[in-house]
Amino acid sequence: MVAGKKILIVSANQLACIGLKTILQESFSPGEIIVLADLHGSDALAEADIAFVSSDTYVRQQAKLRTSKAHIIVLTEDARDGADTPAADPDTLSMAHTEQEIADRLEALFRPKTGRSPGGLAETLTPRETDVLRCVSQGYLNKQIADMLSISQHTVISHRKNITQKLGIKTVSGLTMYALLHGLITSKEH
Amino acid sequence: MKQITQEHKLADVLHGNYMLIPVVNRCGIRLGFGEKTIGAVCAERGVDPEFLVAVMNAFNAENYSAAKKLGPKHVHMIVQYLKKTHASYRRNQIPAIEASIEVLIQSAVENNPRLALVRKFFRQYKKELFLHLKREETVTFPYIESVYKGFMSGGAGKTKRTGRRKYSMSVYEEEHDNMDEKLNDLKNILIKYITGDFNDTVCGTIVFELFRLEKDLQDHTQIEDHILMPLVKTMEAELTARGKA
Ligand SMILES: [Fe+2]
Ligand SMILES: [Fe+2]
Repeated sequence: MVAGKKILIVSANQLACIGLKTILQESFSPGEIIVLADLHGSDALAEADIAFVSSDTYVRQQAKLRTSKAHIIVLTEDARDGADTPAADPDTLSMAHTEQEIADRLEALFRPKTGRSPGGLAETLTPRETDVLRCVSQGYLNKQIADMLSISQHTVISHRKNITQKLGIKTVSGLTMYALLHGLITSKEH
Repeated sequence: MKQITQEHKLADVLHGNYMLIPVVNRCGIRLGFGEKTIGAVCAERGVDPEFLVAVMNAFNAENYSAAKKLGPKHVHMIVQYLKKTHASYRRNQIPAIEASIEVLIQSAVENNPRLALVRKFFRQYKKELFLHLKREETVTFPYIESVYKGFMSGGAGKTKRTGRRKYSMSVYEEEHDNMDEKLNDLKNILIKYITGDFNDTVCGTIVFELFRLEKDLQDHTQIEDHILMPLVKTMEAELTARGKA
């Protein structure tokens, strides 16, 4: 992920820069690391894959940073890493932490974001089974489900059997969780 | 694996199946017993070797007929063992998984509602499990201990005086539900459907711990259903017979 990549660190706080550089070198074997006190008059940003910038720099050079292809990470003094930041905000890394915590946070930031995607629902359950599953997770009993969907109780039971067999989930709590995860019901409905 | 006997070295048995380590611990045997055989370690720690061997064989073979050798005199020991297991769920295993779920949530770069669902599910499960354990500890086990005492003292227990008692092994049989199905669902959901940006190692550890707890609970329930229940039922019958004589 980071191995061999070009990293740029921009901050007037030289000690913080050196510390971060050390952590990066020890745990992530990056390519080149360039440290700058200021972004002015340097084209290092154009070359960088990842750029750590102080919050000062971020505020002053936003336009330049926004158009950069580099992954921008803003260095903060706030102890809360990325807490409550809206999705549009840049990634942040708090320097007010121990070395280990900073390394953990870096690992999280560098993790590929598209690694895992939800398993498809349509190919596993039929529309009728999905209806039954929705009712089960809302807490309805077989008899009620049969009435609601105008099918026999026997059919409800056989749908439930198929659902359990397909998903490998037996309990009502498990099925409810599945339904919530796949947006079949909302948390208010169960 | 071949049958374990008292002549086997305890260390060899644990090397063969490390899942037996908690079993040995719950019987009151600590690691550090050197080269001794099961028989020798049991003699030293005051543990009934027949009991330990039967339980270990049952776990190993996942076949509880091995425990048929256990008789009424082992009932107290079985209950002690089950209580220790309850304590380890309550004090160690459940809190450890709970803590790992918190670490997982902390590791997420952004707020992940799926992980919040995992936490909610596990909390609910914990509540139900603890109720199950409490019911056994406050109703089932005291009842069994009283049957055991009555049986061992050669008396007829209270059966004669009160006629039909409210609680019995058949009530236990009916109310006793297994607690591992929900765990199985949770680990299935974690494996298949929990996505997002979080620490995969922590998530893997949680799934691993759920597998372990599930197996442990299955074995625990097997002892309750297939060793303890039938044994106490025969004792109940004997007490009733004594009461009539
Ligand atoms: Fe139990
Ligand atoms: Fe139980």
